[in-house]
Amino acid sequence: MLGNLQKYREIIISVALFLILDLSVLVVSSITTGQLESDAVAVNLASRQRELSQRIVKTLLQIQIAQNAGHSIEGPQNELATTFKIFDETIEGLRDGRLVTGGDYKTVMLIPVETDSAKVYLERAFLIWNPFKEKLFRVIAAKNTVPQEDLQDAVEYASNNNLLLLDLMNFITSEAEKKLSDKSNTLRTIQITGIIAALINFFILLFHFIRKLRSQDAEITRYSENLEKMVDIRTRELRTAQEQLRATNISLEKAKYELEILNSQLEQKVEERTAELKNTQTQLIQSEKMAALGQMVAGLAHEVNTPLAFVKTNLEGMSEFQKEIFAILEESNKLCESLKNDDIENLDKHLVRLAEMQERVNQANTMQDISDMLRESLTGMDRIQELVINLKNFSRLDEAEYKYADIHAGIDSTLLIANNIIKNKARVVKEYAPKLYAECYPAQLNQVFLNLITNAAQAIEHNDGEIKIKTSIEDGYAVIRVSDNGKGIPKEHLNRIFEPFFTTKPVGQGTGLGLSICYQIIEKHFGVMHVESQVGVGTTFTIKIPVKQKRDGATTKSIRSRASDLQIA
Amino acid sequence: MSALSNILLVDDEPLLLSSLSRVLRLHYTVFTAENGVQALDIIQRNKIKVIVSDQRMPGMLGHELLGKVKDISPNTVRLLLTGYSDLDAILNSVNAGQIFRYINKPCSVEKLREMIELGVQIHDRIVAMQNDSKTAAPAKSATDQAKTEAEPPATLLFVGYTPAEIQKLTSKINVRFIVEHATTLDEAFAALNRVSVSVLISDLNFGEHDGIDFLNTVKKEFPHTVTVILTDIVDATMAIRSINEVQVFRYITKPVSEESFARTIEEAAKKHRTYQATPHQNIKLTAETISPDQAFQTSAEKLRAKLVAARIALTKSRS
Repeated sequence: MLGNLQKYREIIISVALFLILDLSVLVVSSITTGQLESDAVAVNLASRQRELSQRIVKTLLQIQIAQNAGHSIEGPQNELATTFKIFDETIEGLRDGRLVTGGDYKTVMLIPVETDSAKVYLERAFLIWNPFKEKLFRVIAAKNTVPQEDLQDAVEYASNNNLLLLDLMNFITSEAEKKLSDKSNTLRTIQITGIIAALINFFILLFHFIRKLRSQDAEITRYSENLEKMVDIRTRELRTAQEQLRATNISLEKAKYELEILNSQLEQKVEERTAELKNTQTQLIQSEKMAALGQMVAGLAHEVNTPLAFVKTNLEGMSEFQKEIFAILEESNKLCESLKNDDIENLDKHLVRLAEMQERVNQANTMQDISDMLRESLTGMDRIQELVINLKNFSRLDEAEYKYADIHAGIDSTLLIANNIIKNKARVVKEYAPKLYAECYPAQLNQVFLNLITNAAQAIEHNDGEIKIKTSIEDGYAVIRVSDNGKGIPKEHLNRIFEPFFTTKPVGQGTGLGLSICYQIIEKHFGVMHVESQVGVGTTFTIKIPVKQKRDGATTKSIRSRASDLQIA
Repeated sequence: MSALSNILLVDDEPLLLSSLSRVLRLHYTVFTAENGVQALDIIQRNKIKVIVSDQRMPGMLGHELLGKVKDISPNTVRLLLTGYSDLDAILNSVNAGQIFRYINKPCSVEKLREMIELGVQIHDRIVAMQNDSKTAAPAKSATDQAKTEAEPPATLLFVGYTPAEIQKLTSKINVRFIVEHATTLDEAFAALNRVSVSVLISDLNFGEHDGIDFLNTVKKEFPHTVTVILTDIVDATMAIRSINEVQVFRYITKPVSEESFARTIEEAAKKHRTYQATPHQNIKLTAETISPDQAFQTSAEKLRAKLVAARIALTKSRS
């Protein structure tokens, strides 16, 4: 606000000056004009006084003539009275200022004369007028006829003094005119001065405005130049930005294109990776199978090795005995020959030798040994045969893949397979239900049993190991519990043990797939598998599978297809 | 026939025990046990010359049993029957010095008899020598101990290691020693002919030459040299051969700490002094004198030829 005031100060001052000047000129000129009008009235009335004085003289004369002629004097007498009255008012007005009857009988304000000479003239006029006034008054006051002497006196006074009065009135008029002309000159001067001042002011203002406008113009020009520059810069910037944007756009487009390519490559890669992963998984499961198989084979080899060892020893021993027995046989043949041929000499010799041999064989209990060897060897062979049959039972290669099978038989054959692992570690306690059959893939279930039993044996690190296998039927489910009194599984591992690749064994000693495969197998049977464990006390794995799978085709089919997936894996 | 040698068979399979005892019964008084506890009981009550134990048995494993037997009856010659290889157990038993021979199961009766017979003879020889030395110098072992400080420094021959490795390995040894080293077998033979080597530290990996055959060759010529295998080959067959063929003192698998290596070397040096003082303690030498190895394999023959060549070269250079 203040700034604005500051900014417009010059204009405000100029305008105020202009207004003051004009107003003062206006006031002065209006005053002057008023005075001029009064002066003009004065001039006019002063000039009228001459005419009035002459009319007074004329009416006096008319009265004289009329009186003399005997006519009524009323007419000139009234005119005289009026003229007298107006003259008297006017001359008094000229001296003192008062309202008088003007031209057209309108009342006007008459101002007194001002100049000294005019006042002197007026004094002198009054000196003439006052005696004249009395004389005229008597004429006017007279009724019907004016006394002659009065009339005469008046006419005489008029003819003597009228010219003087006229002159005086002339002087006064010219004085008033002079004054009027002076005043109108002053007024003109004032007006001209005012106009000139106003003009000067106007020009100053104009100049100022122009200057201001020019500076503003310059400023605006500068500003607009700046603006242009800025706009230029901005435009350039914008253009650059636009170009950058365009470039960005292009690179974006390119990136998008590349992304699309990458995407498609990625998809391809994902497919490849998935395939690889599947392959790896397959390989891992395969290696897990191979590891399990290796373990099983090693165990079996040991199991077969022992009977093989003693059967072999027995056979080797028997081949030694066989030599002796053959020698006896040969000797007895020779004895028989001698008997036949009556070869007494040799007969005796053979008889002695045979007796010696028999004595040695008898002493060594060879016959008993041979029968023992044969029996034990047969036992060994039976054991080997049993193992082979069991292996067949375990793998169930010659049976239907999916069947209603004896779970106990499966566990038992598994125990035999795992015997090598268990026998040095723990005793096996069986708590079987009277009978336990279930619809299942027996070979796959055996795989699960083997895994659990092996784990149980491996968990035992002391000399009083016990593996308990308990079976039961609960709510249409075959339930198998495998417990050990081994080291137990720490809590932090417990919920991870069914995860694929989770293992606590050193690298290379387990794929960590065993239990996860078991879990899958049980899932495929629509069963459940869970674990309970306490560190230092032992672990129990529980398997539940439905005794009868649902008879609806879809389920069976899905079981089959899922099981076949596993087979493939 | 009254003076049959006592032998003990240990196996958890009774039928194997009965079959074996039947074929051995004519030549030995055969004791049998089905587990380690029974076996130890029999050992304590009878003078057993040779014990043959299965490795895999419930309760006590074979090598554990033999370790205990070594303490109870040190002169009993110990044989271990291994059905299938249990690497850790074998390596442990090798280094614990518990076993004279490993026997693979199944083994022919003939081979087993040979092995047992060798064992019996070694036992008898050792006992006889012990009796000799007892009568000749009853307080000798005590003086041996006292003389330890005055012994000349042990000569260590490293075969197949870098100088830096040797430097590191020998950094913690507390007895006085001289280091020889060889990178090839020729160099090794040259060194063996030049100086008397107390302890031979060898790798097993020599390209075309079999490490065990190399050690065997050395052992035949320098029976008192104590052999230590330091290798990264972890192999049960190698370990078994190192015992059966070379009677190696230690089979160490890399990496090994300097401290434990130093301990091994100190023990080996001591063993070497014992062999020099009382040669009958050298079971390998005893075994060799009783039953020289039948035929050298081709590889071993070549090695022997190398050794001879090295010896000739040395003799020539000296003359």
